[in-house]
Amino acid sequence: MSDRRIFVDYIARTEGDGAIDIIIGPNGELKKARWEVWEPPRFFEAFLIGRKYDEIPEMVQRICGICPHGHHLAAVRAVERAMGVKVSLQTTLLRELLHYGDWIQSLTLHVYCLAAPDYLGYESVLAMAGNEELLPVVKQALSLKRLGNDISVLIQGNEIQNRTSVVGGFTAVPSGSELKKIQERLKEAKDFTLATVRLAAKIASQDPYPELVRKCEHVSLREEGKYPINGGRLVSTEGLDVPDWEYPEWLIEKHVPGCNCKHAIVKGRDSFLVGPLARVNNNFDLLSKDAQAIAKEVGFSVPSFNPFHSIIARGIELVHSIDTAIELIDEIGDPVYEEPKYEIKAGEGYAITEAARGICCHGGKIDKDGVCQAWDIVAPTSRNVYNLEKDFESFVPKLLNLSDEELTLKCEMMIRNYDPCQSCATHSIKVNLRREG
Amino acid sequence: MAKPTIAFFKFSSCAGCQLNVLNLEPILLDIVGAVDIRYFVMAKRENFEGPYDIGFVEGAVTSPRELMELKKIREECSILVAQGACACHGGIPSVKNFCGMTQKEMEEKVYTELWDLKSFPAHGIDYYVKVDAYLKGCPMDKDEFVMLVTSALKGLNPLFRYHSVCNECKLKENNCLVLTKGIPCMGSVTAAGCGAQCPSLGRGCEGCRGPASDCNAASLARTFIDLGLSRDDVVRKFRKYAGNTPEFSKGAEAV
Amino acid sequence: MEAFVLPKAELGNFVAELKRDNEVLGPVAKGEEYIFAPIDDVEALCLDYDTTILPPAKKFIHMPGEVLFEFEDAVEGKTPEKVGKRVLFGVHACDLNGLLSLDKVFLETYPDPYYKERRENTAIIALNCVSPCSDGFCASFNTGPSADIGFDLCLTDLGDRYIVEVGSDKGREMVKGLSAASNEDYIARNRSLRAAQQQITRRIDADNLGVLLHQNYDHPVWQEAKEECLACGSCTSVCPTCYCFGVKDYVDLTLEKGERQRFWDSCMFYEFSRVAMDHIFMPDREARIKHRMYHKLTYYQQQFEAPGCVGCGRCVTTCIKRIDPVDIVARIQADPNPDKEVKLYTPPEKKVKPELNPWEPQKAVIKSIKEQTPDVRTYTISFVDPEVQEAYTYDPGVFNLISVFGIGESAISISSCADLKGVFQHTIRAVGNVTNALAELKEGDIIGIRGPFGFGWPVEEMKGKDVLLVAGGIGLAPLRPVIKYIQARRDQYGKFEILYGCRTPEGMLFTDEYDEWRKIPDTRLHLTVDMVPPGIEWSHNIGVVTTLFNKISVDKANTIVVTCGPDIMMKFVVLDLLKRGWSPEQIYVSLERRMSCGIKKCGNCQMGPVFVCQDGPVFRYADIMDLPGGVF
Repeated sequence: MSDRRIFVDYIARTEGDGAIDIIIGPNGELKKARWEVWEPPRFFEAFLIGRKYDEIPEMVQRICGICPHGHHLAAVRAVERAMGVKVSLQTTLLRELLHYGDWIQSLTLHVYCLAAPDYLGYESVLAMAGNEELLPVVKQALSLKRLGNDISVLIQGNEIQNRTSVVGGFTAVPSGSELKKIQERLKEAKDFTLATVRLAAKIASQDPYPELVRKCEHVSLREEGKYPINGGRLVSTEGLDVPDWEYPEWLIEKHVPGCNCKHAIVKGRDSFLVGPLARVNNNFDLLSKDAQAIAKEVGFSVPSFNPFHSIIARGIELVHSIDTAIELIDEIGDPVYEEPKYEIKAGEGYAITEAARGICCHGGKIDKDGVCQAWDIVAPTSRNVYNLEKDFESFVPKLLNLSDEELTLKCEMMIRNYDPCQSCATHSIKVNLRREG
Repeated sequence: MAKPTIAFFKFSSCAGCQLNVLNLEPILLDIVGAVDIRYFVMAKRENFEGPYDIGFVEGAVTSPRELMELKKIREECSILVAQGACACHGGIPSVKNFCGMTQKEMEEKVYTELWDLKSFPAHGIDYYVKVDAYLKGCPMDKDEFVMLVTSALKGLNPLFRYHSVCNECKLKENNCLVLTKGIPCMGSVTAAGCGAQCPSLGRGCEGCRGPASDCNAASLARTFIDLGLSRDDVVRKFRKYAGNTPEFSKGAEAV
Repeated sequence: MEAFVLPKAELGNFVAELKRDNEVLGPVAKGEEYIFAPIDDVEALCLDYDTTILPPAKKFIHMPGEVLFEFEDAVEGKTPEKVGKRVLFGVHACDLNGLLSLDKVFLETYPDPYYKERRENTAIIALNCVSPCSDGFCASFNTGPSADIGFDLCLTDLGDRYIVEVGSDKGREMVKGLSAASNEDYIARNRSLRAAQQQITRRIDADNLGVLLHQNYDHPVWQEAKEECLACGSCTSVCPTCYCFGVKDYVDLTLEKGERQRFWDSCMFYEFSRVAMDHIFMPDREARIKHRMYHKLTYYQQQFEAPGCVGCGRCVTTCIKRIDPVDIVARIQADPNPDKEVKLYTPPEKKVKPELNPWEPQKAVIKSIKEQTPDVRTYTISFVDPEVQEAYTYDPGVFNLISVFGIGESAISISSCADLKGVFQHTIRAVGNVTNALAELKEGDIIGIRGPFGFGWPVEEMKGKDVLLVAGGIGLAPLRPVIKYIQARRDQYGKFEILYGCRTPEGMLFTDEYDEWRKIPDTRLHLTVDMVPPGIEWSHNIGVVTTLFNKISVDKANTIVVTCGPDIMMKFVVLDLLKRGWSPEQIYVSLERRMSCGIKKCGNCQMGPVFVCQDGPVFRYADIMDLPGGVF
């Protein structure tokens, strides 16, 4: 009997260009299990050197079109820490609302457009729309995604790349009446998010997903008194608890001999996972009341080490996002334009935000003229690659009875659990240029 | 009449322009109904080989593998559209062309191991192949995308007008950021079509849509110096989204 | 003039009274500048404003953009939207005069019904300037600081009150309840306005400005302006007299329903003069800068007998580089080119049917299509409404605007002459969006026709004279009507010689009519091609069409020349004839430019002060040969 090879040339329904290469030996042993990222590198950390401090947040959001908010907000806070710039409460709240708008868009995109088709047996959400029964669900999903986008448009001027958020604040702020209109729409969308959690729980309970559990370290932020989105301490399910700017010391990239991939590990320990499941595991008590209630209703409890529960975690976070956005709009009230004012100073600063798919780390050095001397970027997806390959090692042997086609789909779903951004991840993944066969 | 076949490709970019297609939520299903999307890996698992009637390419070309793919795409697509600033002019990936480091220095800075990466200066796709239409901007403008699709469905050239962003500011009666606040706005030399999105929100135009037709970047560069920018700052302005273009190069070299 | 007094304390009531029947539009603050906007709260009204970003009359009456009509496969027609009554409150004299100039553009010769509807429903309450703005130079053109005519009411600020002059019956209605102005009020008004006049230090010497500019088309100051100008077009957006616009068809995703829209455009934009195949008539920035300046300072006066510049100063205020007509004219006057004889172009008088909606295409059906060459077809067309077809008549050499709904409009010469009853013909090459769409149409398909527009060939003047017809390529199409016209009235004309040149034999048009033309009495047909591809038979001349001039026998002293073809061909035909001693008075050319309206409003077809659509497309060469910037 010869080897079995599961090979996917260009993984669908993920951001960027990645490939799966798995070789299973005649006795069911895993000879090779790799997630290869083919995205060409763009060298952000090199060309940011010599650019001005105000260009860093503008440029790094172009690392990824799906999570630009995460990169932008981490970078702008890192620059502000480096130069000692303080921002007002209004700015902090608007930044949170902005990021929640992105979460709503991104989590909906993932659940309905990128992941659900697999569970429901469709090749895409566009195909799902062709089914009369599913069409209303697809339309509601698109409507919720639009709402998340409209929050971005209202606060930053565009669905994707921000126009108004700068070091020190905003160049323009939305009006209270526009925010109130968004609030109305959020209230109307609440029921659909609850239905999303129920749907996610139902489809993730199908065989074989419930058995695919693997304990590993889940890393996220945790903030005092609120669910982490734009800041907090770096924590984990294994007891990590450090200030966020210490991330370079605690989250390490290790070269492992004989292996093509750089491994992201927690100092002194092993691979880890970032993303919604990690956040929910570490911060369940800080979720909104209704988010906690719906989680209990569908039988979801923490900690969960089943990566196929990420879709449920995303649904729960959607409910939480709606609730929190509604509260934030009440707290923000009628924003007043505040001209960003600060001095340019030399310094060093690091910051982390929780992009929809996990911790996004930025930081570096600015000189006295405001010119960047060094910048470090670690995107969430690159943290997950090593962990995902361990998922392959653990789960694939349990699924050998499936046909090649079914097994391939399950492997793709394992990757899609992480909602990966391969463009972001390109930085620390070794690109395997030698194709076998 | 058979629905036109459409394909979406991605090179070195952030995928935001492709995502913007999915951001057409209210009319997405109408568009999907009017065309036959044959290749869109980010949204679909079933994708088909060419040829295609219309191909949208997002991203700059930075590696030999992309270049080879681009040539194949050009042969397979009757109409080829450069989607977004990266594909039109090089975009943010082209910043590395002007950062002063050699390719080797950049690789050493970013990757702790040296392996044969074969990355070369980033250019828009028309540096290598003929392009039939451009969707400028970072990200591309959703309404322009719809206009292009509708024009293509009718077999027409959409005839976009690439006059300056200033015109759009005037129609909205915005206070001119250069004149009232001394902000170095690139709008006077940048192609319109975005509705002056940034200046309308108090943010000086950064030139993400590339040069307006027959613009005078050298003259604007001189104005920036008068506004108090240093020479390095002026160069940074013109070497951001479309630094590869001859027009913006004139601006960078004028000081 | 009748005048009343409005104490400032009563302003709120006055405005409230106006708001009962009208929408009141007045100056409000925007940042540190001002704009005209609907007034809800009279506290927002800033009557001491210096200038606004966009001129109020242009913003609300010309409109930055509007829908002309909607269509579904064919014309739906849209009567101009009924506009509610409104009042422009506080219009400065410069802007009022700008409106009066726009009236000349839009209300005379093919009145524009959309503009008219808004204009008739807008009352103007002018406001004289007692402290003039810093960039204005209105006094130089007598367009400010005070208004003389064109208003319903005119206010002057006298400190604690306004004196209100009445300018119309509508205005008289508005001042019911105000007390009459006293002598002291009049004296205070005059004193105040005299002082304001003297505060205006910026001046242009407007005497003979047109002649001065025509003599200094090559002055070095223009090269400097070209180096500075950003070509951003802000100057034209904010100018009260600028009217240029573009027209475009839009369809929705069903591809069947859509609308025709018009939107402000600018001669400063590179694409303004773009036609099919991306040919641009004015690519050079220096030429475009000069066109704008000359248009404002002289051409407008030649075209419409109204001031093109009202001295509002906005173009200077809004220009990042502060390119300033006052400065430029002063520089030219300080160091002018030597005097030379200059005759300023005056357009010919045009008579039209004023009740016609000039924007509404008439439905016409394609009766038959004849392929002349792979990309040229002759369409025989007839109006769907037989009465319209019956009434339709045209001179040889004029054009129609042909609509293919959802695609756009294209200006094409008529290639038949009106002796042909019941139908008319167009011979069209497929080069752009509209003409390629026409190439896909079949017999029975419906298109839209607007026209005829323009001046045709001088068939009256040609009577009793010899006629030399020189055509190149597709240029034979607009000249074919001349051949047909002469054929039907042969004894009224002298010798007739037809010279026709094409690039290659396969490109020749109307080949099946040549025998018939040769049979016209005392008529000779000379054919030539630039080159003959291998394998093609050709027994006539080889060479450009000017090589045929050696073979003609018409009487030079008593001949009219009519010529049409690509620009480069007409240029050399004219040059050659002039060198041979022919005079520019006897040569007629037919020109083309980009056209979006055909009715002397959109400005796309301008060649200096000439509107190719209405002053042409046929021109006597002597009338246009001295235009600044040249013809070809």
